[in-house]
Amino acid sequence: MGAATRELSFAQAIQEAMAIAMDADERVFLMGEDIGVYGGAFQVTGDLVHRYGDQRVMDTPISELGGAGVAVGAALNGMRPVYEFQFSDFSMLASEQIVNQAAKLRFMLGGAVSVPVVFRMPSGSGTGAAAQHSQSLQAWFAHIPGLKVVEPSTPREAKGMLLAAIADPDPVMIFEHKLLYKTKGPVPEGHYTIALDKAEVARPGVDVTIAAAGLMTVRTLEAAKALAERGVDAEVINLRSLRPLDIGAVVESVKKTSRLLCVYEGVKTLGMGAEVSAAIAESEAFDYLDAPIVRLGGAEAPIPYSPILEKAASPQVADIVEAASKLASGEI
Amino acid sequence: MAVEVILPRVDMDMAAGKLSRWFKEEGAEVSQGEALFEIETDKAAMEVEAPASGVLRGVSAKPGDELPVGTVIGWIAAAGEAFDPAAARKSSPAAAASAPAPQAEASASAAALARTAEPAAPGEDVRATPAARRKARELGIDIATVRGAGPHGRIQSEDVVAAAAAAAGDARAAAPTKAPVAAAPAIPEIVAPDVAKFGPVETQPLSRIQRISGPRLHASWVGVPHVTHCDEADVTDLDAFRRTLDVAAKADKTAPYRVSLLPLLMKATVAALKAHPSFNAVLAPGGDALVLRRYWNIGVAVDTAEGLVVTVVKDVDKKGVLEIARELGALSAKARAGKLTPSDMQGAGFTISSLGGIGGTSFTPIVNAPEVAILGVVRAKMTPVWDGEAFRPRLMLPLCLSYDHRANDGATAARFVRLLAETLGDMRRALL
Amino acid sequence: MDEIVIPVSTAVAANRPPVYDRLSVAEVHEALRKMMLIRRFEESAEDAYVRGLSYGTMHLSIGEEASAVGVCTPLTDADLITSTHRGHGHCIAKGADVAKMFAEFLGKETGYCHGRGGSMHIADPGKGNLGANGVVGGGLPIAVGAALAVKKRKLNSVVVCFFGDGANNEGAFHESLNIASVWKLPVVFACENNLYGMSTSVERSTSVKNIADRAAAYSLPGVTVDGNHFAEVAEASFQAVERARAGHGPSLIETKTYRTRGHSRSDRNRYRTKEEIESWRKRDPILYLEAELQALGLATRAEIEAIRADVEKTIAAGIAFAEASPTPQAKDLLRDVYTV
Repeated sequence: MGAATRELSFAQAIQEAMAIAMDADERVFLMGEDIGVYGGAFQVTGDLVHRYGDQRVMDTPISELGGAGVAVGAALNGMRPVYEFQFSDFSMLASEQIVNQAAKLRFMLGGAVSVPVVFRMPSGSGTGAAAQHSQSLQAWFAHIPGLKVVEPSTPREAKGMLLAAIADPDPVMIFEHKLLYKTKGPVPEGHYTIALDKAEVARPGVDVTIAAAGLMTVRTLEAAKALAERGVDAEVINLRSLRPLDIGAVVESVKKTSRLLCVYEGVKTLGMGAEVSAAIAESEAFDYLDAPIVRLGGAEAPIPYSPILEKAASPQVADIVEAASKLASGEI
Repeated sequence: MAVEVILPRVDMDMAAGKLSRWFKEEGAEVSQGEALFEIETDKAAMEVEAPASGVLRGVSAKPGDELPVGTVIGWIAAAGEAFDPAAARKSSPAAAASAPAPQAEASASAAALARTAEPAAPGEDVRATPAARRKARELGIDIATVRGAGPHGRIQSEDVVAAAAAAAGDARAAAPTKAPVAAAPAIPEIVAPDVAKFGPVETQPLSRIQRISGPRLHASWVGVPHVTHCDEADVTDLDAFRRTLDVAAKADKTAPYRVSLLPLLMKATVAALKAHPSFNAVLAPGGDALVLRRYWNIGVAVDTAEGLVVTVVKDVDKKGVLEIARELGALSAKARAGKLTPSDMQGAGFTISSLGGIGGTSFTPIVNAPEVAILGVVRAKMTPVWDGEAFRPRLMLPLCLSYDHRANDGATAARFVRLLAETLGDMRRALL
Repeated sequence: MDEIVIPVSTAVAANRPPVYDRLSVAEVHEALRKMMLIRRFEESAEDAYVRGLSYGTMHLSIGEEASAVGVCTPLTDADLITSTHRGHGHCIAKGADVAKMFAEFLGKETGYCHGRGGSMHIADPGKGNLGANGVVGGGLPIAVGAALAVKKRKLNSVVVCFFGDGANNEGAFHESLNIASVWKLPVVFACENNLYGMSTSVERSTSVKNIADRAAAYSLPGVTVDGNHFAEVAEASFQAVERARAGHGPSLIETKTYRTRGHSRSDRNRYRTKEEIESWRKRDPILYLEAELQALGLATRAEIEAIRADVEKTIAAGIAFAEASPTPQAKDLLRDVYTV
């Protein structure tokens, strides 16, 4: 198997990034609950503790606020911690340290310090974990200047973006969709980074632009296949990051296609789609729109337990196909 | 030295407070820390302590007074100290201090808006997408006349294209709506049909002069708001004078030359320009001033095999008619030989375009921007002119002044041309 | 000025507070100077505030000078502190330049935070001050994190975490003490118990009598000292700092002190009596230290006055600097939101 055709799972790719970072820089260390011998709730850290010891793969008590704050303090004093929240929902306990401290310390102190901390967390719904273990909070944190908020969609992105995040001098939050951990894909060997501020054209097309990130990019690409069979050539923009948002990529695409669909699992109201729509309407792409901008977002409800309801609360492939078809055919 | 008693700020957003009561009177003894007066704010009343021990003097506020934060309302002098309110006020730090205005909140958006509002298109209450409106502007179609095939009768881009194709009756016009398009040009492009379709054709490349002057003429035409004012001058006597000069010139032993009406016209033009300098000027960048030239170089359009070229005679005001005539002859020869230098073609403040003997009644010359005026002349014609009693045959020269309406208005232009005409009618006026 | 009566016993050499054996005369004078500097800074800040010359609000630590200076006395520039919204004293105790503090206070470009932070966020990383914090309890986990970095980087420094009685009921307090204890980190938790968290007294809000009692719950040594007595505070701090430096882990020092001013300027003092405020005024820590040093022969009246005069000069120069400094420009609003 050549370097580019080796396949890893999303989780393995993240683990590999952590090992590479720790090998290269002794300032890098991991913190989180049950990331040591247990291997992490989603087996992301795996056997890293056996390879790097419990001082570099540190199990914390169940103290998200304290733990996240410790990560902030360590970052302030010369280290590069990577803190794992067991579920993105638990970042709520640490919001004080993330939002009031990490995001703002550099600015409040007039540039005298930087906070090079990474917060990564499993996110999103589809595992039956229900309301308090299934949220998509990216847009909420992306609202805060001083933070960077990113969402990888493939194993290759997961590794490259984590390595970029660790090297970044500012706080980065990485939302890893739980359903992606076991997906496999080609991952280059060795060290490489993927920029945290650039979207990619995951699939070129001319009939409709679909903007998505993370798991939604994967679902959208699948939807694009079905759409192609119906004669709709979709261009898929994989945003990769919500803050900073590469709206330029979406502008260029909409100028080509004249139609825009935003797909995101976060609650529809005031989520990614709200920002992208507004930004497009304010941009030069406005004059190219030949139909209203459509948002396909998460339901206005906590994530339910029952699988039928849980599916209905999150955009599925069929929903994306339907929305994009209607948009392309001029029905909307 | 006396210590100030000030009305303090006690709440974050407080700019003023009301003194509600004094606990001590003028002349009373006070101890540091004891309650001296009470203030009211929108939150609640608050006691304020004496800042020092001594005697309360110079009380200048009474209960009910609403005062800005930091106002001195009294003094605490040492016991036995002679207290002078004026001196105390002068040395007060509060007198020197002034509350700084809170920083104006910067509007935080750093992103510039790429879009500016488009002027209202005809048919504003028509339901059409932005792309459709843009297409309509590009194709010069009134959007209100387009039938929308989208939801709710919404007009989409392809509907506009279809309407344009139907109107042109040209199958070629149905451009794919999703093709990459550049941003709309400011001036609609004129797309020529394929003329070969209709019969035999021959392609003739434009000359170098045409290729260079073409875009410049286009720019002048589009960029300068043109008005052409026409008048006529009675050159009967002037032409008679010209003939005598021409006869002598032809007979010149050393270097024969010709005298046309042009040098005389140029001298008359300079006289008129001196009276109306705004026609010998350029608009300043920014368009808020006229830069008047204090030199008089006149450009003259000369016909060559390749086309019209403007040659410049410098300092026409300083040269005599015959000198100008000789110079025109030399420039003409150079032009025909293709030997004009850049200096020969630059620096004109005003241009005269004479169609010479070809004929015609008038034309609208194009201003040679950045100049602000150009005089077109056609062949003089013998014309019956009413002199108050009878029609007399007079040689009348049509004058057509095209001018930049930003630099001069209609009345001024009319006066300028009239003055020029009158000067040509009696050349003695050029001496004035 | 009120007479401070030193109990006769301290005048006898045998009962001389042991901390004076650790400190040179110059160091003792420096401690007094810093306490005076804090007092005069706070009074000047208050003066600017009531005249409407400064923006926002401020939280004064008048009356708590011995606590700040006593805790910071064993520290060097390599040691770190985190501070609270009532942090001007900690800042000065850790060696800050009052001119830059005044400038920050007035929102000027030359302030410690270039006018971006204001009173509640003053920091001086060059002198090991990781900053005041506007969130009660916000600095605790950060201090523990900084200590974790110290341990990982094998540095010899300690981190002092200042917090108030109000913070000791925040979740962050408990999580931080637990983590610091479990990981044996070089932190000194310095709780300044001024008996009130804003308007709620410690009695009404805290389930233990002394906050130091909570140390036992996290297997840390905890000690309560008279926060207005410099010598007691400094001695406790030396012991805690030595423990941390030796790798024996964190400690908790509770300094019982009092703020004679309100929580912030808009405080109407409805929650405490005038008599209580008066009784603490009589225990002014600066007057106490002056009397103690004179009684022990460590400073003369003249030396004390010279220090006071020097402090006045420093304050005046600082205010002049701040007033003459430029204000920030709106075009620079987005500077330093990110590093890159």
